[in-house]
Amino acid sequence: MRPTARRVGVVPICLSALLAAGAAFAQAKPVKVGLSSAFSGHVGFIGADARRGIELAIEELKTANTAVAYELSIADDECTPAGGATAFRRLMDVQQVDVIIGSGCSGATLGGMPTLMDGKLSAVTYGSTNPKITEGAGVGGNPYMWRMNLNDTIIGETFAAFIAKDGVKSAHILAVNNDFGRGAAGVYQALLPKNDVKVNGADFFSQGASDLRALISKIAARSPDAILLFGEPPDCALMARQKREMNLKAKIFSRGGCYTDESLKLMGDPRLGDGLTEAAYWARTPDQPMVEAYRKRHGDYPPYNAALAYYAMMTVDQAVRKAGPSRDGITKGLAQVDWKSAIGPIKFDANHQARPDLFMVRIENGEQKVIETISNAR
Amino acid sequence: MAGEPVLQLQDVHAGYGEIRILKGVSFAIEPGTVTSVIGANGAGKSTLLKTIFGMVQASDGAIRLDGRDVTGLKSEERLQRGIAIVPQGRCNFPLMSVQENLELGAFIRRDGDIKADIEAMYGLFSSLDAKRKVIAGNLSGGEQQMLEIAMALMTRPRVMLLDEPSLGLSPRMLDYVFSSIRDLARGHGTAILMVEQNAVQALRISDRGIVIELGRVSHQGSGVEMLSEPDVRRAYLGLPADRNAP
Amino acid sequence: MELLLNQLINGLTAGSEYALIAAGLALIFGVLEVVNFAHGEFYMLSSYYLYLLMTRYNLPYVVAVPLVIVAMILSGVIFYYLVIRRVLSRSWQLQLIATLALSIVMVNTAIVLSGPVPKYLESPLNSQIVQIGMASISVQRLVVLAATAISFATLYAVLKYTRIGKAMRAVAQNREAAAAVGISVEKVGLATVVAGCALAGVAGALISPLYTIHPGMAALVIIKAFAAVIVGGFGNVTGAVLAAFLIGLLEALVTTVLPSEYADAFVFGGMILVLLVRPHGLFGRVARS
Ligand SMILES: Nc1ncnc2c1ncn2[C@@H]1O[C@H](COP(=O)(O)OP(=O)(O)OP(=O)(O)O)[C@@H](O)[C@H]1O
Ligand SMILES: [Mg+2]
Repeated sequence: MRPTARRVGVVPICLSALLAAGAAFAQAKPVKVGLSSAFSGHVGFIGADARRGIELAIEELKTANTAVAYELSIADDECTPAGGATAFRRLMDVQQVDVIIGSGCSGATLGGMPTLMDGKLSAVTYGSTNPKITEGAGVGGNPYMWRMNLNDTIIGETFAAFIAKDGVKSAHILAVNNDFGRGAAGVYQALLPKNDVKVNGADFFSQGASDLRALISKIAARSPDAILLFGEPPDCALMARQKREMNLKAKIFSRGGCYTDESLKLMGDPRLGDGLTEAAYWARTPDQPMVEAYRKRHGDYPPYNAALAYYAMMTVDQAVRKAGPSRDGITKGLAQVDWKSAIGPIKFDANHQARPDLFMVRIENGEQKVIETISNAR
Repeated sequence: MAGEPVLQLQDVHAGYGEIRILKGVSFAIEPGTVTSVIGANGAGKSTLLKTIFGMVQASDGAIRLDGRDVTGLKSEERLQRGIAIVPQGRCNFPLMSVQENLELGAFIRRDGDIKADIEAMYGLFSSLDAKRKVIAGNLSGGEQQMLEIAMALMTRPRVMLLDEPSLGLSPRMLDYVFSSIRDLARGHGTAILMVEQNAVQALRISDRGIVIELGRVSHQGSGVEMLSEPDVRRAYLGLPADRNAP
Repeated sequence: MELLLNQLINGLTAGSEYALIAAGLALIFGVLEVVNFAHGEFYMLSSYYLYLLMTRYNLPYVVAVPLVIVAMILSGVIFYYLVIRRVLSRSWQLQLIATLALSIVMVNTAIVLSGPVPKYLESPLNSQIVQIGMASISVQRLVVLAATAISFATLYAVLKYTRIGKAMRAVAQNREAAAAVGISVEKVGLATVVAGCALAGVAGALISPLYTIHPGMAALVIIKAFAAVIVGGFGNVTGAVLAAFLIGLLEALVTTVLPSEYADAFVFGGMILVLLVRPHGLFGRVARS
C-alpha cells in the first residue's frame, strides 16, 4: 500500500485522502488473526511459542508500514483432531477472525480443515507436515487450507536421498503415535526403499510416553544402521538419554524438533545428541533478522514454532497487501503471494503448498549446525 | 434392682443432619442387668445405641456414665471409659483370624493382660477356641456373632451395647447367645443394653424392657411387666393383648 | 534370548514405576474407599518439588530426595485435611468430583506457575551405566528398582506388624467395626493418605530424573496405575503392586513380538479379560462384609 501512496505523492490531495482513509481503516477495523495451537497438555508450549512469533511479526508490521493493524486471538486445539475442529470453529464463529494461522499440529489441522468451508475462512498452517493436508487442499477440495511449510512428502523425498547418501543401508522407524508420527512413518516406509535403504520395521509410542527402553531393546536386537525418530523435543531428549543408557550405536535421523534448543536442553548433556541429523523446515541460519529481534525481546533464540508462525504471519500480511483484509480478500491474496522470505520463496501451488528451504541440521559437540540448505526441494 | 445407675440418658436428641430421629430419650440402666430395647423398624433403636457410643452425636440432652457426663466425648474415649458396642450387622474383620480379631478388640488397651483375656474369651466361647487361626469371614454366622461379642468384651466394658445379637441365628444358637448374655451380666457385672427383634425371648432374659416409639420412650418396665403389657404385646410381641387368651 | 532378558529388565523397571503409584492409589482406596483421581498429580508435584530444590536452592540430588519425601508428607497432611476428610463419609460421586477437581487444579496450577515447557533434572546416577549380563542399565534405574523394593517391604511391614498398620487393615476391612473397637478412622485416614503421598513422592523423586518433568507427566502413568489397581483387586495393595509389574512385563513382551502400538491394547484388553473371568480382579478378596 505504501509504494502506491508514494507514487501518487505528487498529488497532495490524493495522498492525504489516501492516508486518512488508510489510518481510519486501521483504527476502525483491525484484521483479526486467530492462532490455533496447543496451549495445554503435553505439548502446550508450542502454542505459547507460536504466539510469541506472531506477536513479534505484528509488532514489526506495525512499525514498518501497512495501513492495516493486526489483532491476535488464540484458541487451544490441544494438538488433537477434535481440539482442532473446536478451536477453528471458535476462532471462526466466536472470535470472528479474518484468517487462522495454524494449527501447529497435523492432527488439529486435519480436524479443523473441514470447518473452514462453512465460514469461507482461510487457514495457513506453519507447522503441520502431514501430506494429507496438501492432498486435501486447493485443487484437492478445500480451497481455504494453505500450508506455508514443507510437508512430509517433500521433506521425505529429499531426506531419504540424504540418508542413503550418508551410507545408511537399513533403518528402523520409531514415531510418536499421532497424526504427525504415523504420517511421517508412512512416507519414509515408502521412500527409503526407493533409495535402497531397507526399513526393518516401524514402532510407535504414545505421546508423552516416558519409557522407550522396551522399544529400543527391540530395535537394537535388529541392529539397523539408523533409527528414524519422529517425535517432539521431549521424546528426542528421552531417546538420546536412553540410547546412551542402553549403549545403542545406530545413527539417528529425526523429524519433529530433535535438533532444537529445547531438545538439547532436555537432554541434560546436549552432547548426548551428537551425530543426530534432522531435516528441519526451520533452522537458525545467519541471514534471518527475526532471530535477533526475537532474542532481544525474549532473551532466547526463537523455537521453530515461533519462527515459523512469524513467517506465517508475514505471509498473511503479504496476502492482505495483494487483495485486502477481509476473509475473502485474504483467501484471494494467498493465491497471489509470491514472496522471497528469509527462509526461501513462499508461493502456493495448486494444492496450496509453498516450498521454502529445507535445512539439514546436525548436532555436533552439543550444538546445532546447519550442514546443508536445500532450496527448491522436490 | 436398687443402686446407682451405670448409664443414664436424659432427654437425649440425635439424628442425621437435618433428620431428627431421637426426640428426647430418657432412661437409666444399672450394673449387672440386661435391658432390651424394642421398637418398629426405623424407630431409631440403632441410632440410640450409636448415640450412646458416640458414633452419632447427641444434639441435646446428656449421657452419663457412672454419673459423669460423656456426651461430648469421642467414641474412642467412651470406649476407654467402659462403653462397648456390637453394631447391627457383621462387625468383625473378615480377612483376619479369630485371634487377630480378638487382639483388635483390645486395640485401646495397652496393659499386659490382653493375652490372658483372649484365653478367657476362648473359655467363654468354646466354639471359637478350635478356630483361632480361621479367618473371621469363614466362620458361621453364629460364630461370628460370638466373636463380635467377645471382641467387645475385650475392653472389659461396664456397659455393653448389642444391636440385634440374634440376627440370623438358629433357634438353638439363639438360646445359647441369650443365656451367655445373661451370664455375662450376672457374672461380670456388665450392664447390657440390647436391641432385639426376637422381643419375647429377649424380654424373658431381661431385667428391664424399653419401647422406643416416635423417637421417645413410650413404655418401660421390668421384663416380666413388658411381657404382660397389652399395648406392647399387641404391637411388638405379636401376641394377643390378653396373656390369658387362648 | 538376550532380547528377552533385556525386555525382562525393561518390564521390571517400567513396572516399578507403575507399582509405586498404583500402591498409593490402592492403599487409599483399600482403606478409605476413596478413589483418588488426583493421585497422579502428587507424582507430578513431587517431581516439581525436586526441580525446585535442585534448581532454585541448588541442592545436590541426594540431599533433595529426602526433602522431597518430607515435603510430600506435609502435602499429604494438607491434602487430607483440605479434601479427603471432608468427603470421607460422603457419596462416591462427591469424592470423585472432589479429587478430580483437585487433579485439574493441580495440573493447571503447574502450567501457570512453571509453564507447559518440560523441564529436565540431571541426577548424577543417570550417566553411570552398568552392565547386567547383556543388559545395559543406568544406576539411577537400579536405584528406582531398589527403592521400589524397599518401599514395599516397609509398607508391608508397617501394615503387618505396627499398630497403625493393623488399624489401617482393620478400617479397610470394616470401617464400622474399626470404630467399634476404638480405632480412630480419622487418624487412620491421615496415615493412609500420607503414606500414599509419600509413595508418590518416592516415585517422583527417583523416576523424574530419568524422564522429563511437565504438568501432564502423570497422565499416561496414572492410567497404567489404575489398570494395575483394578486388575490387582480394587483396594488390594499387594495385588496392585503385582499387577503393576505384570503390566510392565506384558508391555515389554508385547512390544518385542508385535508392533509396539498394540502394547496398550493388550494391557487394557487383558484388563477387561481379567475382569470378565475374575470380577474381583486377579488378587481380589472374595470375603468382604
Ligand atoms: N446414616 C444415616 N443417615 C440418614 N438417615 C439414617 C442413617 N441411619 C439411619 N437413618 C434413618 O434413621 C432412622 C432410624 O434408623 P435406625 O437404624 O436407628 O432404626 P432401627 O430402629 O435400628 O431399625 P431396624 O429395626 O430396621 O434396625 C431410619 O429412618 C433410617 O432411615
Ligand atoms: Mg437397627
